[in-house]
Amino acid sequence: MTGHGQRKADLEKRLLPINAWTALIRGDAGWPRPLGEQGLATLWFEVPVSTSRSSVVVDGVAISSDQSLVVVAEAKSGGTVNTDQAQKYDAMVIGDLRRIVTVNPPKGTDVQLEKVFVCMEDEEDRIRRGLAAAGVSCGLLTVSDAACKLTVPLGSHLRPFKVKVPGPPPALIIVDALSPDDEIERVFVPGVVAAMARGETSVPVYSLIERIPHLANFGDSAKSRLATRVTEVLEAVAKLRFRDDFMVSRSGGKVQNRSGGVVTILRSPHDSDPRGRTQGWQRLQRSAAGRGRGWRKEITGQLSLDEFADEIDNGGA
Amino acid sequence: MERVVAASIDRQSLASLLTPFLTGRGGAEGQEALRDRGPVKSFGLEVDGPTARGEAAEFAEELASRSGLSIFNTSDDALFVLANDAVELFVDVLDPRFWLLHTVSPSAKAHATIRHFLWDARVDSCWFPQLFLEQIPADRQATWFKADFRGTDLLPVTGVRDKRLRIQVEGDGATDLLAHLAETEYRTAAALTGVATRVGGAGSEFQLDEIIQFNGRFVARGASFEAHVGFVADVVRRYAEMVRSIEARDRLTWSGSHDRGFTLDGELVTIDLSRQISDMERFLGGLFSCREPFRLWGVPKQVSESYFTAEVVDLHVGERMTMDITPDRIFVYLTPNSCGNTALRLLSNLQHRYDATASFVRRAA
Repeated sequence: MTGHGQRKADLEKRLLPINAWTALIRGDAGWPRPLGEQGLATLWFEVPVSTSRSSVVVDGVAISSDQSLVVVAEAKSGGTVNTDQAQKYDAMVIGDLRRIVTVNPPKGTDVQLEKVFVCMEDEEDRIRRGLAAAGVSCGLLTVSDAACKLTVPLGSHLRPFKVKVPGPPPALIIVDALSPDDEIERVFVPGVVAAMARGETSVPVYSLIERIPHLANFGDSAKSRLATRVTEVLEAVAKLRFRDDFMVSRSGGKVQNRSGGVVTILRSPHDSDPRGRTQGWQRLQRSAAGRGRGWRKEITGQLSLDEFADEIDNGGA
Repeated sequence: MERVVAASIDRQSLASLLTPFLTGRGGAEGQEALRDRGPVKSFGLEVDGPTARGEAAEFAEELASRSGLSIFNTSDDALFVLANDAVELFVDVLDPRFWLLHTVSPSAKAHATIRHFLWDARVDSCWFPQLFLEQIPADRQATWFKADFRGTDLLPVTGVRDKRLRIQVEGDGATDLLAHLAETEYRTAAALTGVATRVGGAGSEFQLDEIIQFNGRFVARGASFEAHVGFVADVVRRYAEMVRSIEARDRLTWSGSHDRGFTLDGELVTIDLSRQISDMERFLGGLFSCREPFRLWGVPKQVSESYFTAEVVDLHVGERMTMDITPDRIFVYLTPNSCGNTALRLLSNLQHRYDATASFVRRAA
């Protein structure tokens, strides 16, 4: 795709494991759903759980529709196992989850709790060694662009599998406070363009964050941390490529007691004469792609032969 | 408004005013205002924003002002007249979001005015996908159809057998030809653009010939404007249900909080293509051209050999969303603020510009 001016790029690798875990339950985007087929349905994310070894934030909780199985998942962005965190998972019992009323795990006495670590395939060996060093035995789900594989310890109530997948998992979780600058730019510059299309003249960065579905419910402190980063990234990119289109002011770091700056729209195709709007949006597209004219093939607008033939009819007697 | 005394108009008098145009006797005595006008044309528009008739009325006023039209109230609070020297539109906002517009003004002027309305980011056409359009004459016989497939913007420059296809057939069971085409290698261009059907039984005093086009346009002839409005309103109501059901089912919505955890509802909108995308560069360039009819701004990024992702802005509602594109499937991540019309605009225009067999698929339960 050199003509696109786009290099092949990985989706943010850090978020692939949690998105793959989700896809293997939900079956979105043509993904197989071997976890869904084992009955797992209800999904919770980022659930803080108090265990006998203190609290841990569980990345994913899935509950089977027959209420017999609860699975907690830790999605590893790299290959390092935090021993303390792994042992908290190991110590977790179903009663710990029952304290989280919103998750509402089943009440029966025969409910099974399984733990799964999720990692990229190329980190499998390191994760296995880390879990062994921590003395933790649990399921391990490995993810690649071609296949996903679940291995489980003896006696697990989860069935192991290896399935082919059509590519990267759907990015239901697209960005977070730890995402690299180019990913933040890739997601939030379109947010600014969307504000332009709505005819807004200014938009707080905090509001841009609240329009990203999975970020909308984050706590204020998490959103503020992200708002600070998004402000920095947008400020830099505005100076570099959107100097005449928008600017970002930090407003002393707080806007209505929330961190992050304000994006002020300087020029928007929305305000142009309708006949010139398309060119305005296309110019913003080229800037967002980080390239000048010709970042993609322009559609020439040449008449098809069929339309060309109409010229005979239209000009005829 | 001098020519039609708007304040005296209600739905009944509108029917009396416009019925002669359905019968071809328009501009009868006492209707000099509308003399020399054409047949009755109707348009279904989706207007993003208004949730109550008062809001719709305010927006109609804004739209009229921007389009060089005057707005006149009628004795019905959901019916307005928008007019200037060239065109009169009777605007029904009974559903504040899905408006019905009726006119007997000359087609070129009426269409130019509608195009002007569509320049407003909040206004969109209704986009009837192929299956929806096919089912309209379900219990009635199709008497005419038009297929108008224009693949020149999205299809590869060479090597495509059916880049452009245009057919019009009139006759009883006209769409049989389209069904035959759908069995051939030309099926990917056999897009149903417009269809005519006879409404009301033979001999019925309310019999109508209705032509429905995939972009929410109608033209009718017959004996009763009320029957025409009933037909148009029913089609647009069913379309509105489809839009709302997409919004209820497919918007990806997260709920919960940071101290209790989050949960996710909604599905990805998935479009299946039977014509594989072989020139992805050209396809994406055409799709994200920021032009009508797709109205999409996007910067695609190649993730793997055959997998692209793009952060996209629907320029109709000004909402960011993610789209993933593979050679045979397109995935759309609607957000809680996305418009169901976005998904239907995408599907019905892909059917007319890339693959007439494109269809929504649902994930396995």
